[in-house]
This record gives sequence, structure tokens and C-alpha cells, in this order.
Amino acid sequence: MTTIIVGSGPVGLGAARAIASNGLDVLVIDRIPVIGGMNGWEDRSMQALAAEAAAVGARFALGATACRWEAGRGLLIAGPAGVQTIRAEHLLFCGGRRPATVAELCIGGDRPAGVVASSVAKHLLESGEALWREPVVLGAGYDGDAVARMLANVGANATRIGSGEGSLGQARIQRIVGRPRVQQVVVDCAGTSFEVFCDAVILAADDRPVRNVVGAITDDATGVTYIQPAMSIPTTEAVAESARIAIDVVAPQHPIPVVSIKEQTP
Amino acid sequence: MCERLTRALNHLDGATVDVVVVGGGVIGTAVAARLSSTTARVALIEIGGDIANGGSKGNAGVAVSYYYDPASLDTQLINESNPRWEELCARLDVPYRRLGGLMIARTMDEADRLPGILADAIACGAPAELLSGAQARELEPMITPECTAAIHLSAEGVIDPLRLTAAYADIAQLNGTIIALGTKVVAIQHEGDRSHLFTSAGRISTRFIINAAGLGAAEISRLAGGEALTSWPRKGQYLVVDREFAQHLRKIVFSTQMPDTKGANVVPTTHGSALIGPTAEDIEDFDDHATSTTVLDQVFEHATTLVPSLTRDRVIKVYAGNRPASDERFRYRFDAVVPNLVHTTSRSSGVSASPAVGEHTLQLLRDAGLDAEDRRDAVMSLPAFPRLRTATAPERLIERDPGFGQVVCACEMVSAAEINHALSRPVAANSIEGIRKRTGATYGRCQGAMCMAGISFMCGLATETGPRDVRVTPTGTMGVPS
Repeated sequence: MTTIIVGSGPVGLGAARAIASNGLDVLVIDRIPVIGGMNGWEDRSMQALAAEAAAVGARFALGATACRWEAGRGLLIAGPAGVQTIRAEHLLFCGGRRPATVAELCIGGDRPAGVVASSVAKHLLESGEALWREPVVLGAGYDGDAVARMLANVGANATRIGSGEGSLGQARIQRIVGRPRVQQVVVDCAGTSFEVFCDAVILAADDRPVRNVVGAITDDATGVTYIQPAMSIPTTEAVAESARIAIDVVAPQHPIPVVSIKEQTP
Repeated sequence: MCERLTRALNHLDGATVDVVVVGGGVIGTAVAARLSSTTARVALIEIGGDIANGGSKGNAGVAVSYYYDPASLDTQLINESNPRWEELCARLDVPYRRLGGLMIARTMDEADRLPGILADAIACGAPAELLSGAQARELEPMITPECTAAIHLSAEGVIDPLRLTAAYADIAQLNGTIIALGTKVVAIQHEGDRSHLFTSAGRISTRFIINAAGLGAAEISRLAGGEALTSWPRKGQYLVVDREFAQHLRKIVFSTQMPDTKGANVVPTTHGSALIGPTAEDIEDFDDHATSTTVLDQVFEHATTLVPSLTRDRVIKVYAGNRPASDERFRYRFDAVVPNLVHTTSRSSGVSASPAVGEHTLQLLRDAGLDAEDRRDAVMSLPAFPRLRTATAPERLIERDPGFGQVVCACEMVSAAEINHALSRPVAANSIEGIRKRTGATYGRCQGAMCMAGISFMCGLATETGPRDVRVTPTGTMGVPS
């Protein structure tokens, strides 16, 4: 009996350690060649968690992407070791969440360069370069906060749109204007429209679960369990919750191991 | 970078060719590909930074089996092209599926129109058959139970119009066509039986000019001193539906053409997704690709009357494309004033007629005295490059290229090998959009949220740009230009 876990963030690692410590076979794959997921590979608590999981027998295939799940057969993965099908009975998808797209947010108007998902923006901003001076950040939740902090660190002057402190209240973007790059957004706020000039739009609103493995897209996919809690959930809770769900699915007769994680030291 | 730039700025200067094709859409590239396989010297000039940048970019990817007027040249060219798709697409490594289409009637009014449409289709030479509602549902169980009658057009197919255009361009380039992207024609002078085109990349002299400029055709004709063409952009808005739903569609679903309403169609794509649309809105601004949420809501509502199980949460993308509407639906002919100017423009059937348009245009030029013998050494096919998503034995791909083991766009299952292939084709992608056109990367349900950073790094490496200057579209950069 093999379980494959897609994603090596706190959720994936928490599930992996729980399953492996019950003596069951588990393989963790991640499309990035390092563990850590959203927490990042430098997070010591993630490194410790991965080491504990490995110590009780969890296996890892890093830099490998889950491509296609066939219930009763297994998972097609593509990675440095090649493209291959790994036999497995369970797929625990712990692939995190992503911001909603322009289409999902029903934003109209032009489709210029400079409209980017928060996940892309964060990745690009990691270079430390200020790509934008006056960006708009849509979404006032956890993800919007995270990207706004990174923008502030590179000296960008961001306008927040969405509910939350320091933002433009209960507002949504109606329309994007500009070509070839974005120049402004038309914002609707309680029935009033106004323009906000900007040189980028960062989409960090209404996040939803990532679903990108063929055969593991819909909620009712056979053999698949999705563990994709809110981005804002504290690491300790994410680890505990995913351990509970994983054991419940894979080995309900087994006890859930005691959960502890060493918090990151600054 | 500097050398690259200088070459780009002046690389046309002083060139002398037999034929200049203006416009790098599906028709321009098809014509260039055909001419390039002869002894004629050919150049292709495209104002956008990539091929398929105007009307062709918004093409829905239906290779139709008929289009209106039975006696027209357009019909003849479609009929010559249609039986060739399987062979041509295999040779050009372009995805194509002859799915067949169903035009469905739900009301008495619609059903009353079907016999006339059927007669038109048959008169055009298209295989067409009138079906009952039950027969139609047997062919496509996803259509509405309200369907009372339908026409089955079995020779309709779906094609990847962007890969088709890219393939035509690659063939042209491999056969020696000078290809100038991002190049604007600013003036045209005639001298004896030759013409000089003054462009943003220098002066080029030619015997013949092919006006395949689509939305810009009227302007090119004006610059050449040719006929005053009347043309304007007609916007088509689309919604793209996730493969998870669309993969179950078996047929292209057309609404019955009615005189007073603009019906939407549901068109499976070769990516596995489906398009809903298009609208037909006459506008003035060529570059206006804005979408309207209100309009798209109506289009979607209409589509649910054809395929009731469609749900809005399956819509992954919306976009608009502008096709060149005109007082003449198509032009494949010499200009009435300028003797060495040929117009090759079509509003809607460019993809469907393109293989034969290449042949037809060559014949027009030969009849006008162009010395163009078919070359024995001409490149007529492109090596098939496998795709991870559709490969029958994906396990073996890694032997060919380790890049197949690195998935970049997970939603569309596009590997690094495929992206590097797009960045190194004869007419290579030079923007993230260019990569999308050639591979489908970022086209899926997350719209690049998980992969666009990686793709921008790959594109940046290939085009010697950084995260700020890398181009998302042929002209729009990721960051604010420094």
C-alpha cells in the first residue's frame, strides 16, 4: 500500500510524517527541487519535519511534477529521473492554493502586460528588484498582505484594493485599462466607480485550491484526497490538521502520532 | 544585445526580392510558405513583434467545410483545402481533429431555417445531413434536450490556428524567406515594374507586393496607391472552458444562424478546452481587445441553451480578437489600380482556406509573369516534436531530451523541452505570449499563476532580457521599463 503526497510544504510534510510513523509506505513529490512549499526551503522547522519524516521511512522525489492520476494504477510523474508511473493506492494532494484569475474574478477590459498573479509577483520580487513603482494589489487577505510587504521592501508604493485595513474598503476591480502595459484600473466601491492609476496589478484575491493533476481535478476523483487549507493557517495547525486527515484516509485504524513542530528560530 | 538590436533595426536594408508579403497572420505566412518553396525570393514583413498577432491570434480554430456563397472563390479555396488537413497537419506538426459540427435548432423558427442552410452547405460541396433531435443527441449527448433538429457537418474540424501559423512561418524561414517581425511599412514607391517598401527596418525592393495585412490591409493599399479598401475591426469576445469539462465534447456545436440574433458556438479546441463565442461587434479601434463582463455573461447564457451542463466556474479565461470585416468578405485578387499589388485578406475563413490561398496566390503571380519554379530541395515538412500531454509513451521522451522530465506549466502539462523548442524554432517565440502560442503554456486553469515566473526566466534567458524587460506580449514588458 503506497500513498503519494503531492506537495512538500507543511501540509504535505505533516501528512507524510504521520503516515510513515505508522509504518506505511509514503512518497512525497514536489515540483520544486527542495522541500518547504510556501514556507520556503530555508525554514528550519520544515527541514526538521522533512528529516523526521525521512527518519521513519518517508521517501522523497523532489523536482518531480505529478502529471496524471489513474485510480487503480498510480501516478504519472515527470522528474529528473524520467517520466514514469508510480504505483499507488492513495493520492493526497497538498499542492496549496493560488490566487483567482482575471476570468474568475469577472474583471473586464484590456488584457495588457503587467497583470500578474501574486504567486508570480512574489517569485519575481525575490530577485530584490523593484519591477513596479505604483502597483495595485487586489485582495486584502493573507496573500495580499504578503505581497504588499515584499513590494514595500523594494520601495514600491502599492495601493491595496479589497476589504481590510489600509485598503479601499469593499472594492473590486471592474475593468483593467492600458496597452501594451496596464495604466489604470476602474474600481467599483459600493456602487461608485473611480480610476486608480498604476503600473501593475497584482492579483491576490479570492484564493482557491490548486488543481493541476489530470484525474485529480474534481472533488469526487477516486482515490484522491485534497488537503489545501487556507493560506493564513499557522504552520503548527496545518501540520496537525493534515496529519489527522491523512491518517483518517489512509489508515483509519492507526493512531495519529503526536504532532510537534519546532518553530523557526529567527 | 547590441548586435542583436542593430541587426533587427536594419536587417532589411538594401534587400531585393521577387515578392514581399506584408502581414504575418495565417494567410501571409501560408502564402510565404508556398512561395518560398519556389525559386522566387521572398520576404515577409509583420508589424507585430510575433506572427499571428492580429486577427489570427483570436481565431477560434475551426477549419470549416463551407462558408456561405457556393459560387465564390472562397468556397473553391475552402474545398481545395479541406480534404488536405490530415496530411498537411501531420507534415507541419499541427494538432488537428476532424470532429464534425452540429448546427442545432431548438425553436420552430430555427428548425425552419435548417433546410435552407443544408441546401447552401450541399451546394458548397460540404458533406451535410439533416438529423432529428434524437439523432443529434446520439452524436453529441451534451447538447440540449430541447434540440428538435440539427445539421451534421461531418467535414468540419478543429485545428490549432497558432501552431498552423507558426508552422507556415517556420517553413517559409527554412526555405530562405527573409522574415522581419516588429517591422512597419511606412511608405511604398513604384519605379518601373518594381516597388520599394520603406520600412522601420530599412528599404526593400520587390517585383510584387502581397497585401496580407488583415486589419491593416486598407492602410497598406493606401500606402501603395491602390484601391481605397473599406475595412474595419469586428470584435469577437470568447470565454474559454476548462478541459475537465470540455474533454467530454465530441462535436463542434453551432447555434443556428438567425438573421436577427448573434448566436454563440461551443467549439472544442485541440488543447482539450472549449471556446464559447464569438460575438460580432463592429468597432473602430484595431487594438481594442477589451472584454465586457456584461456581454460575456450574455454569450455564456446563450451557450448554456446549446450545452446546458456548462457552468460558469469552468470558465478559465476570457479574451477578444478582432477580425478584419470589410465590404468585400474576402479578397484574393490583384488590385484594380496598382498592377503588382495582390490582396489576400479574409474576414473569417483565413485558416480554412489558407493551404489553397498559398497555391492560388502563386498562380496569380505566375500568370502575371513571376518566374517561380518549384524547388526540389524545398523544405515541405517540420520534424514532429512530441508533447508530454499527448505523447502515447511519455516514459520514453526523456531519452530524447531530459527537458521532458521538467514540467513547467502543470495545468497544460508543458515541459521545459517544449518551451525551449518554442524558443528555438526557426521563427522563435520572443515573449511569454509567443511561448503560449507555440506550446499552450499558461493557457490552463491557473492562467500562469504557478508557472509564469519560471517561463519568464526561460524567455529572459533566450531573449537576453531580465525579469523587468522580458516581454509578456510581443510589446508589453513584465516590469516597468527602466
